[in-house]
Amino acid sequence: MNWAADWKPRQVNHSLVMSDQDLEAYPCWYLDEAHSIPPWTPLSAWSWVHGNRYGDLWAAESIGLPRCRGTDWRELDGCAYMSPVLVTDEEDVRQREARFKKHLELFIQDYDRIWQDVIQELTTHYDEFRAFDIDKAPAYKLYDHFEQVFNFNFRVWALHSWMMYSLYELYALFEELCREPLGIDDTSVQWHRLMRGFENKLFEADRWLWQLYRRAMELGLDSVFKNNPTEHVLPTLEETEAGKKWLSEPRGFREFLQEHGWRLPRMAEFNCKAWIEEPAPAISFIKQYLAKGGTFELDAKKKQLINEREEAEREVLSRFPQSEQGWVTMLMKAAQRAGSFSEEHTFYFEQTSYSLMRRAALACGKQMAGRSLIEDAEDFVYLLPDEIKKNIISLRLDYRGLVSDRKRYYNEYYQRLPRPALIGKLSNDPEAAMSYMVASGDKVMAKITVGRAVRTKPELRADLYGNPASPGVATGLARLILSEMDIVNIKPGDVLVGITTYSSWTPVFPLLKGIVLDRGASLSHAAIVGREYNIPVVVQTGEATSQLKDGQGIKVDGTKGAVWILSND
Amino acid sequence: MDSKVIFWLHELGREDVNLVGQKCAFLGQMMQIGLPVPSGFVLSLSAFDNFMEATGVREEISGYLSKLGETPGDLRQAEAASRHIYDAIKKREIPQEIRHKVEASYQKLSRLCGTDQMPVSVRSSGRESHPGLFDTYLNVKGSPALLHHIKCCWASVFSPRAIATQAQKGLVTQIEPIAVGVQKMICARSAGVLFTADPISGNPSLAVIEASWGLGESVAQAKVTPDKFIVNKETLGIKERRISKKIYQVIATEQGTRIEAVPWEKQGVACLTDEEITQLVKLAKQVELHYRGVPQDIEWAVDAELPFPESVFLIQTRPVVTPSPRGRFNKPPGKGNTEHIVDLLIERFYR
Repeated sequence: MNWAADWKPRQVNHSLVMSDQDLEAYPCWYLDEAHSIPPWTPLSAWSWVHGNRYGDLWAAESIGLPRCRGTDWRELDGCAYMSPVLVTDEEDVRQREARFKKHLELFIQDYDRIWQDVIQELTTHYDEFRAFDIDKAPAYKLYDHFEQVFNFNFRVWALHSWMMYSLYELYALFEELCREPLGIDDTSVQWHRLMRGFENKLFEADRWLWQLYRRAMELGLDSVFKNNPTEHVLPTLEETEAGKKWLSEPRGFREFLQEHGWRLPRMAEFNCKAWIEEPAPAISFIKQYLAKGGTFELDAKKKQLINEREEAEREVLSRFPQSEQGWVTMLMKAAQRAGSFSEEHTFYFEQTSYSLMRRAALACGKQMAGRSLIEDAEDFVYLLPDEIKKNIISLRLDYRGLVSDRKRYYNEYYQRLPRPALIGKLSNDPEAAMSYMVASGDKVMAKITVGRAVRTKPELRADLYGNPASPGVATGLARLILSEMDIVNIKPGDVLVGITTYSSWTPVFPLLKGIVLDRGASLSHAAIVGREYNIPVVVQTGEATSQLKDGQGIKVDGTKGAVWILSND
Repeated sequence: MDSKVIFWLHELGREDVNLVGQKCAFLGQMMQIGLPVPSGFVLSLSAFDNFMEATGVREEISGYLSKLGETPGDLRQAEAASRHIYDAIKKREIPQEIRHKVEASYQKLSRLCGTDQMPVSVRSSGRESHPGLFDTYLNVKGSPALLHHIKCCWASVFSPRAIATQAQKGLVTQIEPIAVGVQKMICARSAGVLFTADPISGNPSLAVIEASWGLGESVAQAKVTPDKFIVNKETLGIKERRISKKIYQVIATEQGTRIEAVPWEKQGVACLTDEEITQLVKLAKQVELHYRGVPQDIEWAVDAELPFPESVFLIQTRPVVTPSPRGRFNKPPGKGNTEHIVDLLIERFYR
């Protein structure tokens, strides 16, 4: 049977494009809705499915995940679908278990050193890549660089999954143990209190950006930000002494970009410039802070959140017998790390790696555009790595026809939404599909990419139900944010309504009063960051972006997991 | 041994364990200190022995049991023996003297309650507490039904599980007598259990109430996930309410009980009011105090008709049986923290 007759890719072909055979051979494919909606450009999609697949399979094997060999990935017209590969032989499960236990014990004992080693390995490579003089490099060196950067991304994914699988197991175990004595799980307020009041590398960027806004005020530059469109702000700043100072002084804007500018506006999507190339998103955030004023929410709220967390920790521990508190404390700490890790890992993993990949591929694009082999250097996003590599030394293959076909094809599938959350044999039986996922024991799918079933509470008479991800109640205007392009529309006091959110959107959180998402779970980006900003977050509503209209007044209850429409304007 | 066959609950105290078994002695004690326990009477341990001797059934039972001694631990044989013994007990008539006393006491109890045929609960009470091992019958009406269920309680000494337990101790043929408590039936709107210490952490400053709609059986038999209320015993403040969806309830019928669905709109609603919760904890603290601070596991019920606070009854109490140290998630002494965490993880997620 042909499960995807309407979906057959025509213009892109690589080894992980979903085939009819894949649909027959696997029980079910799950859409990675947290990351691949809206659909990716061909190069991004290629990299996402190849990278994740390699990372998952390598890590599951390396740590001996007992019932799962990792996750297989396929691309279907710019969207990523995944399917866990189950270990079915019980003898095999036992052998993997032994390895898994050994690994996890070391992981718990040595977490800090392990994480530092991983960061070290990554930054050493990144520093080397950054030092490469890409504009002056001869073709063969550029080819080598491209190969190295794209290959290293596989290592990035391997370490990524290795860390994730390990931490999420411990997070899930702590949740499991809290269920009985406390009756809480990862949708409970007390759980959310336990999991916040932590620092992470990305907050460093948000705080720095806020300081840059305060500094601009001090230097009397507010009018430059207020009176100029975003793209004119930087040139105007260059014209004045104060502006130049703001840009170049220590802890100034340029230093900020060097440290935190290696991020793409949408994580892992190559078709937008990284901040370091095009700082407009950062400038736009500062403009939005100007409209809001006040203090940096994160720091204003932090003390209270830490106090609440410590109280929650004491309360939770008191519900375990005195004799058990040693190991329970240890496990709780590990579970808490899962949250801050989920957040800050994107800085070290996806953001830097994909910015460097874009830089390498763009340099190749420039070479090809210089020879008129493609119309525009940015057209590299429509080419696959093999095609780029094949052309980069000889520079003689005319890709203009190929790119124009692919572009047309991309523009067509980009519009084709929504995409089915499940495809394959079990797609008509979501319950069976869920139990297949649960059988794999893959906690990453459950906590981020796919999420869990929502318990509806008809007595609330709400318009939408979801899972509570950060407690509190707020009302505000719904602001539909379907891609990074929409972020500039956010005004102070809005409620962000989206399919998912990305870590590069974090600087907008100080402006928000709440968040409602179609997808997500307790370790999704919006859940973690929403908790730190102490704003209500409801995830996994399924249909927020189709039911709520931009500008509508809504009420969000992140404690109960419900959303009400207050006005139809 | 005192050969008196019937005692009224209010005559008893906890020193009377050897007359009426632990459960009834404790109930009498609670009544003596003024706690709201449903009134009733007890067929003593002597009444059991009397029945066994007078009817000659003891000989017959010993015959079945001694055969078991040859193959201890054979569950099929134990089941067969149990069946024979049940039949033997049920076909014997209760000696006339005992029967008359039971009928007279039952009439007196009914009169006290202002009716001819008061529904009663019939519970077994052994010298040692065996939660769940012996039978309990609810909503029994009229003398013939009462006499029948008294024999059922006596027979429950010989359930396959009870026989197996005795056999494990190497006491196959020793017959441990049992008393039978007969109490006014509380027509409960809600019922459940109360622990005077958190049964999981052992934290003595918390009382934990598990409650469900209807008679208490649904909680005791874990048929529904009960509502759970956690109360600070010092301040009587309700720290936590976990209201769950209570799909089933056990209700009284003409004779006996049955399970029925809880009306949809009541399923997710708390089955106790705050003042009932507070009242229960107040009563429970008195019980615990009386037992010198030993944490208690108390069964309670809230009457559907009576006004508060007369509606709140304690049905029985026993010391909390703490989960065995190797159960649930406790770490064995000497085992490393990380090793324990990882073993738990495997057990919970991969077995």
